[in-house]
Amino acid sequence: MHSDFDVIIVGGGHAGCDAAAAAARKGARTALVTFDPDMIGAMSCNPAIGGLGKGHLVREVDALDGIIARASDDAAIHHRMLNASKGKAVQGPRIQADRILFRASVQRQIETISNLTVIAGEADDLIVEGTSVRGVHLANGTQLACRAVVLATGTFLGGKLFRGEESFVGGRVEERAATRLGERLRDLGLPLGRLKTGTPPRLDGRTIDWAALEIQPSDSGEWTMSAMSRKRILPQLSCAITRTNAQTHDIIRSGLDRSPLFSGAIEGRGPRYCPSIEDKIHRFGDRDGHQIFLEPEGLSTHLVYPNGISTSLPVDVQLAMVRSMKGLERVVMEVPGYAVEYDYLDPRALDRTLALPALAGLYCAGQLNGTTGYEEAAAQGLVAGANAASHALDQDALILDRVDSYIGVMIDDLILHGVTEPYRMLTARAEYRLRLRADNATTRLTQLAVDHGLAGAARRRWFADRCGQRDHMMAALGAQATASELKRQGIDIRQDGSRRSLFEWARFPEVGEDALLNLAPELAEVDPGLRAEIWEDAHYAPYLERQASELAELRRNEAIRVPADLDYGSIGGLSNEMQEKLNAARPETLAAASRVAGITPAALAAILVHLRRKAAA
Amino acid sequence: MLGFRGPHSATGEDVIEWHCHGGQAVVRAILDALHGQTADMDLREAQPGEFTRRAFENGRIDLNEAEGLADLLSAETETQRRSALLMAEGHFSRRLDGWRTDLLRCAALTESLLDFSDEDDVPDEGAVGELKSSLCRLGDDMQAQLAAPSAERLNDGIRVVLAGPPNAGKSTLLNALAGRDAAIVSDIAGTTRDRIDVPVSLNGIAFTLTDTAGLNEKSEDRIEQIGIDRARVAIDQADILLWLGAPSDCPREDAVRVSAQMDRVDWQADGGTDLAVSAVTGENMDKLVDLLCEQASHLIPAEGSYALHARQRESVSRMKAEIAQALTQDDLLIVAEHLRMALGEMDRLVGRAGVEDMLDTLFGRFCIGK
Repeated sequence: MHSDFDVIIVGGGHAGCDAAAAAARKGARTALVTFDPDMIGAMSCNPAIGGLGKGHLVREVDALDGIIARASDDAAIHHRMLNASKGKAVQGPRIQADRILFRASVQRQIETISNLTVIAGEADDLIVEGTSVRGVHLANGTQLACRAVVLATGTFLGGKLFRGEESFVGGRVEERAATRLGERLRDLGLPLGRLKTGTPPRLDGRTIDWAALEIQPSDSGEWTMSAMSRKRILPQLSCAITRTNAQTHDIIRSGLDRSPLFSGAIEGRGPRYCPSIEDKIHRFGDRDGHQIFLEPEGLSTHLVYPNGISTSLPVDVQLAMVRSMKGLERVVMEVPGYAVEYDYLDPRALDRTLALPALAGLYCAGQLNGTTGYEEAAAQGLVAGANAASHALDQDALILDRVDSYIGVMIDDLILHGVTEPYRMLTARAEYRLRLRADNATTRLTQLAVDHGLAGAARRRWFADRCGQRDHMMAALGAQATASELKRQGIDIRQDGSRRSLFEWARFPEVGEDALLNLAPELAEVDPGLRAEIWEDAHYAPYLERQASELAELRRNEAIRVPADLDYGSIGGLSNEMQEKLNAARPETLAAASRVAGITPAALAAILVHLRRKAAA
Repeated sequence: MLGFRGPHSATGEDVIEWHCHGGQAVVRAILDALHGQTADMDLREAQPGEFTRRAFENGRIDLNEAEGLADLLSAETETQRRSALLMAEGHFSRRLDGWRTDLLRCAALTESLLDFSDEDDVPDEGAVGELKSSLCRLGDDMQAQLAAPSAERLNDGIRVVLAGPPNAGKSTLLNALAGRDAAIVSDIAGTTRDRIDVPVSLNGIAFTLTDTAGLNEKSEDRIEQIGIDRARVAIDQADILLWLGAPSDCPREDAVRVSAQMDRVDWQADGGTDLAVSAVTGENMDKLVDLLCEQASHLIPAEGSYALHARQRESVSRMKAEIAQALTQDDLLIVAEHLRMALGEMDRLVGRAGVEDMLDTLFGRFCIGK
């Protein structure tokens, strides 16, 4: 069959853009279908990228040469390294972005990709032949043939907005929903559910009494989101902090009966870690106040985003609520907040490549899969886009695992456990967190990007240089030194006659970077960021070694494939409950099966025995 | 000791087998010795079915054997289910539940300090102190459980060792307690050369009585000397030591000092003895039995209480060790890593406690999120 494209991406949000760019980088003829090309890369909620766990995802997407980190640097007007006082493994880079500049950067990056075409239109149906996707049907009657489709529809699928007693059909405020596509997916028998999320009102910054508020300046560091960005380019703005108070809480309580969250109008579940202010007051009524961050939305706009009061209360209650807070007594509310309820696909129907095995050639990414956040969306987009291209071009699939990336942790969590609320990345979700740091994403993943044809020429050059520096540094750190030699360098260290490599000595707090530079002067030529990464490696090396046997077992079990059509009922020793859970999760490997809740070591052994017996038969 | 080179061994890997006498005590002693000798090696007990699994993975078991294994495995789970049920009727699972809740709370607090440090509802000052005191309490609680009697005492019997100089009447007393002639008795000093283990039941409590060679300081006989060495080991390992020598020579503070030959004409009461008996006339034997049972009651789990099996004890003691490690650390990341290991150990005991459980605890306690 003739095909117009190899891969078609439906949706121009953060998942769709990184999906389109990844597919195109792999050489696929790619199309991006979106309602309004002008809205490509729009930030629909908070104007910030990164944070704890999320910053890791951004750095990982960057290590795989994606676009979200570069767009962040092009638009960053405030930088903050969260957890700066704690270990690097839990530090989270976070920037606030100028919305307009962010969108412009994404659009510029998309435009410059020659084998990527942007098509304005509403995708309202999939063209399906048998159990394979063959193309996308547009509302204007156009049919686009292709080999693979990535759905990245965000909150637009069956989207419905709520504000007080009002409700509207739409994906974002003043944008229409993809209602017909949602209905079509239901017709295809895909497991869909409903989730909700929300956004706060937007304020006019000119009517805020900034002088009365505590100011939080941008940090003074030099770090950027992308390894490819040389430096910070924009002027930096400060944020301010205010608080809700007893009066605010009274106003909110008085409006609860008119909130769609409490009237039963919204059936979908919202995220616990991004609760509406109604929820916070309802569940934690004893607290005397909640912190609200006032974040500027850009250099050329007076709009301010009050982070912490996501709400769907009626407009009059919203206004009274914000005006009850310090510094906001005379504030003008430009756009009221709202809640949005949307269709999501139970991600347990997906596999590790984010493909939907039930419909060959169909891939899903982003909020559609039950996640929340730009970063989670972009990371899934990259994986789905790369794999859609692999499918179309008959190349190896890109599979990321829990041991090497937060992206792998997220996808594994999604496809095994599904979601009961919008899924957000947290460092606590990564059991091998000590290995997975935001600052070593390149070391973990860029080689993979090179191997899979995902890394552009500039990235490959940069990476080759970094690998060279890394080898050089590790060779220098291999040199042995005794405790007495260190003492001669003026280091106050216990004289126990021990002899260690400089890499091992690096974890001793008494031995600072200066001393190591004295002992191995050639280290001074190495990029300071890379040096910091390796010091951190050295610091946690004993713990990483402790995890080695755990990882070896995991890898062994990860190599044992479980067929998708395995009949768990035919395996002796599995309880009905286990069978149900395994049937829903459909683990692809023995290691994945071990992570399904309630699966015991004995049950795993029974599965293994069954597999071996089948293999031998 | 037999060595088998892989791949021609049962599991396909290099294997060393120890063949020893069947008593639990001997097996235990060998395992203890191995643990002691190989402190720097990564030595642990096999997980259930691990040898079979390795054999499988290395292609040493064929289809038919695999069928057999599947049966075995379901039998194993059935036993586990039953034993879990039995345990569930006791208090241990409730206690574990309590520990699990505490551990999850500590992990949630640590994670809240790591993942939500920018949230004002997350306690910061004093939180680390609270964390450490909770961990301390939890560690102490586990230690107390570890110090309590184990299930093996209940099943295998309390080890009662009879020791003393030659011809003190140890074997006669043992035979009297056992109610049969288990040990050879004669007037010749040094008749008992090796240790003799005799299982008996006294007032419904299981005991293992151990007769030992008399502690003859002047022995020139090499075989007798070996017996004496074994006697000393037995003395160290005894749950209850019956000392039949001069009270002043008694090797253990907590021993019961028995004067065993009160039927002899030349017998004289000695100030330091706890009890004088005669195995020949039976005088005071009932008192000795009462004394043994009274001491035993402290060593076995009380009625309606529960005891841990070796595997459970090992898990609890590993959890305890992780908690102890966490307490020495200031880096919250490392504290979190030790708590993760402790929770992993808990998983093995009670089934999986995933990250979601920890997150539930976290979100239930703090108002988190913007």
